[in-house]
Amino acid sequence: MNTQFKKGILELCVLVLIYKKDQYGYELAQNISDNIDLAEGSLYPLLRRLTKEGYCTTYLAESKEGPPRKYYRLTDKGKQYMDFLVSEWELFSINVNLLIKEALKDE
Amino acid sequence: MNKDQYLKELKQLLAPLSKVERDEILYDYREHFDNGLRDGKTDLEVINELGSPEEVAENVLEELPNSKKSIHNTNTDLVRMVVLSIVLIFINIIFVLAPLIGIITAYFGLYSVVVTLIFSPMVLFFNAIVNGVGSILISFFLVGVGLSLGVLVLLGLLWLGKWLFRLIKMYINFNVRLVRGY
Repeated sequence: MNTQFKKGILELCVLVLIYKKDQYGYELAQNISDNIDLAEGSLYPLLRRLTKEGYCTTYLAESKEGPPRKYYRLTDKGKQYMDFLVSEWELFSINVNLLIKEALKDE
Repeated sequence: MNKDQYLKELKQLLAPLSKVERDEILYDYREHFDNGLRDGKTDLEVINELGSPEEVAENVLEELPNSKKSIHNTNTDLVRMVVLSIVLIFINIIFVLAPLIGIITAYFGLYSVVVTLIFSPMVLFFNAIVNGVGSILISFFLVGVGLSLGVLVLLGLLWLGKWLFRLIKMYINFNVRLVRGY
């Protein structure tokens, strides 16, 4: 699939997941790859950009095993951006489904 | 390849970045490895999930804010441009268009002042010569005053027009730059 397209989708998934709860990178990677085939390495550059753009913040929290983990939390700005992307996505997927349905109807 | 080789290779590929930034990025991947290993995965399994260091480095460099490449290509950017265009069009129609039309109208209105300054004394002058109404000397003097003032104002207006035109062009360019995002 088109990589730019996939990146946009990945961005949406990350925002939605950290909206649900704060997560650390590895956790996020596992949650996304449960549903979507993903090169997990592309997640961190995305997280860095989202942080730089103020859509999420990070904090370190102790873990029971091993070193502290870097958690990502959605900001208010990030929430707004997520809402925007979700509505865009919904509109987009409705239209694509409609298009497919129309095209395959005649077969 | 194992964890250390992977991180070493990634570090080399991220050489264009500052040390601080590179260390931060490597920290994230090291943490990812540690979490994966604790999850019972081998180095190789984690690497397979991550993708090659080359892919990762390419992603990192693409997502840099100063990289024009990422600015132009993302899907969200197109959306941003469309939304921004619509917002700008509204702002311009509501707040900018009316004053602009006012200013331009006033500007061209001033040209009628020039016409009046130059031609009304001439009418007086002709009246004095042809019909003998009023003093020829005074109306001739007025023609001189009107003509010189008219030319001065005309020059001023031309100069003002040039700047007005530039200002409008700058404003339009500014809008375009805003939409394009640089």
